[in-house]
Amino acid sequence: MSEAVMAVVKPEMKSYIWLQTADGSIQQVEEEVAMFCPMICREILQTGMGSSKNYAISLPQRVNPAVLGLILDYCRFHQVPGRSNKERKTFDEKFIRMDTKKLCELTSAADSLQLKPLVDLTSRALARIIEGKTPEEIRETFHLPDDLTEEEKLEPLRNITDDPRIRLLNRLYARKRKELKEREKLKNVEAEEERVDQRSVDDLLTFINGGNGDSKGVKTNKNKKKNRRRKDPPKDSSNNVNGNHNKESEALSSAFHNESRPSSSCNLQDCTAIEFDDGDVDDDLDPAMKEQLDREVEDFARRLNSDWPERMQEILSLGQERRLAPININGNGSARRYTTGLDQR
Amino acid sequence: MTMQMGSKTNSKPGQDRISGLPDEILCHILSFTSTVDAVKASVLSRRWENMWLRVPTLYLSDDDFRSDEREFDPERFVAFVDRALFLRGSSSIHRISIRCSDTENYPHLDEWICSAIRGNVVELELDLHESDFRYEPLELPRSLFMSRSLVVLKLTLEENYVAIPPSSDCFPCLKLLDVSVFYPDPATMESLFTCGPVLEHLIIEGYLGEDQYLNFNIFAPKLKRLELRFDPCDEVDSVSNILFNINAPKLERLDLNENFLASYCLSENALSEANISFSDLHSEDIQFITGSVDHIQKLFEGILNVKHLSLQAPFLGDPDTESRCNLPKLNNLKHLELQLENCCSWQLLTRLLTISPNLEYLVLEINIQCCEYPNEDGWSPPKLVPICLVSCLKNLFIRGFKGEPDDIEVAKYLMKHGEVLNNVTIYSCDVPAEDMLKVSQEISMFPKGSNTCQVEFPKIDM
Repeated sequence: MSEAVMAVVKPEMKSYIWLQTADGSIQQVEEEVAMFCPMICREILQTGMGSSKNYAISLPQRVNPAVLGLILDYCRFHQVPGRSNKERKTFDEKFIRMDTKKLCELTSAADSLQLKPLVDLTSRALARIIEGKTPEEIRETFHLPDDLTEEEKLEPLRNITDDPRIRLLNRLYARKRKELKEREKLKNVEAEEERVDQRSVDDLLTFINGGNGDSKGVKTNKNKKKNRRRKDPPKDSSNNVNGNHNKESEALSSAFHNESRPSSSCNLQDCTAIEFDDGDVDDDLDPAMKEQLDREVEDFARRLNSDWPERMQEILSLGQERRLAPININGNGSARRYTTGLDQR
Repeated sequence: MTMQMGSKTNSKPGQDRISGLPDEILCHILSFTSTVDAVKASVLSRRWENMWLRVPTLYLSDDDFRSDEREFDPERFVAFVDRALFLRGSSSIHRISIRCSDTENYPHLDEWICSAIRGNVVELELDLHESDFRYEPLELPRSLFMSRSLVVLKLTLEENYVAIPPSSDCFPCLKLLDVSVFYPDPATMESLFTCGPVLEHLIIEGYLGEDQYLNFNIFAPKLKRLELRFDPCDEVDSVSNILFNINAPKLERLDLNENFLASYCLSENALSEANISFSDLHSEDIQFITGSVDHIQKLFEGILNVKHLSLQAPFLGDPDTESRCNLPKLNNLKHLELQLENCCSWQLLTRLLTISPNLEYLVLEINIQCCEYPNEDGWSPPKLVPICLVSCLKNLFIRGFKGEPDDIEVAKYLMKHGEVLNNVTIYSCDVPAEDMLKVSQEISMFPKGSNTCQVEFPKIDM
């Protein structure tokens, strides 16, 4: 052991580190190159291993001789301090050109040696390979087993595109906040005029009701925008007071028809915890009102979780009769219109 | 194992390399893809089924929902984001990036932002654009400013976007702020950069617009690096009044790139590196800028103590500017990189050499084509040999050497008077090999002021 501890370094000779891969083969590497790998560096400093052939550092299993060669090439280049960023980038781009199989091996080996920059480089390359491919293409590229049933394949996507409960909840909450905000603003209209705020009441109403939601087509690229003259707001703003409400009832009816199987992962209790448990969000509302709002929405969330089909019917019928107003749900399950003045404008 | 119709039998054991990687690595790989791709990956195989739920990043871009086949339906993107934020749970996401090409389509955008903040996101990127004028200003939610977890924030602030910090203790943990503007709101520019008790790196870039009056107040006690990069103004003679009040006593590095010569009030700082580029700004242009002489002087006074300077400023090479501007001496300057456009290069070189008495390392990039003024000015040696040549300059690099008579004269002058020069390295540009050979031989024969001077003509530029 003392032999390993006394690393004899002659000044005119480079010092080398001995590394052993899982297959038993041993090679020696210049010390500064090996030290670039955190795992090897630690081994040397903590255990004193690596200074001679008999005390070679055992590398993790995922590092085979071929991939070790690649890793050492990488280290050899990057450990030189004077290189510019441009040089390093160019090297990396050339270095990473290899077949997918090798890329995966390299990622694995770099990870086991804790060489984070190389892990990032290879991960990004693999990400680029995955992006934009169809699942079949990805499976082919990486030889992945196709071991999910059709049902299982559909489920996560269905979660993503088809959960009307969450839509409803979010919309309801957003609408309530906006209505409350609007009432506050209308109350303070005189105070508003003093501020350097050029919004008119018309504009505010438009804002609250979401405005016109038609899509404008493909985004113009940034350079084109640079040359466009800044637009002044036109005199008459489009006023879609009912726009948002129409959307609401539409969404509800479509949601009703597209009702999905309740998925076990969609727990609305979680939703309540995540979405509504924050005091900072509605800070310019009256705190009492905010409390009421929060309570009401939590109530609604609980109801929604338990008796979904009935709830749906209720809301749907209410929405179709008149403009959808926020509903207060009390214990006995019957809907009662919220009477603290929200609909009195 | 289910065999799908039409798919190849490709799952030989041992061939699947990527699944051998640990979960963290698979998540790491997915963290570099958009969230849509990460979710799509959940149908790849059992191993990948719920991987996206553990990826510590969310990239939500409505570009992923645009295709040539059908008209863009913003509702699909809205549904996707709502679901992704909900199912994923917004906590334990390290980085969230939201990109909307038309914010008018997403009325509850601020809900998404609040959701991210509630989940204690560490890095947030909001790349928000609009295709038409917004009727109502887009205001960033208050919780964004008060977040105790946010360390990196990247924002786009287009016309009519308002981001005024609600109180003076905003951004308590923010270290990097990168703001990209387009006709920014003046009130926002005045106050957004004043809070940031631990801000270390600030980037402001984009297009300020024409005829703008903008006051940028930058107050950041821990700021180390400031980058100000603005796209050139379209209208040549539109006048803008742009003022930067920079109070950053720990500032180490300043990067400037603009073409309207703003006024920079740099308070006492610790600058050691400055990279300044006023590309395409000639003296004919700056005469329209009131107080231009003052601006130049104030800027140089602010960067007085730099050790490393990179400069592109054609107007400084104009003899007219020279007589009106009194540039202070840069006594700490050791490393200078000059980009010399061919309209006024040599005066600029002389000027900078004169004000840098302790210069040791000089890089000249010459023969940069000036689009407006193609005439070249001639080299005439200065009356007094600059001190740095005589006593300090050790390294000289010349890039873009064309072998023109003036190029050769300058090289000759510098080598003759450079009494402590060690290395002269000349990179040629578009010169045929035989001509370069002749020129290099000629230059190597020049009288050298320094015994240790070695001249090199490398083939490849680094």
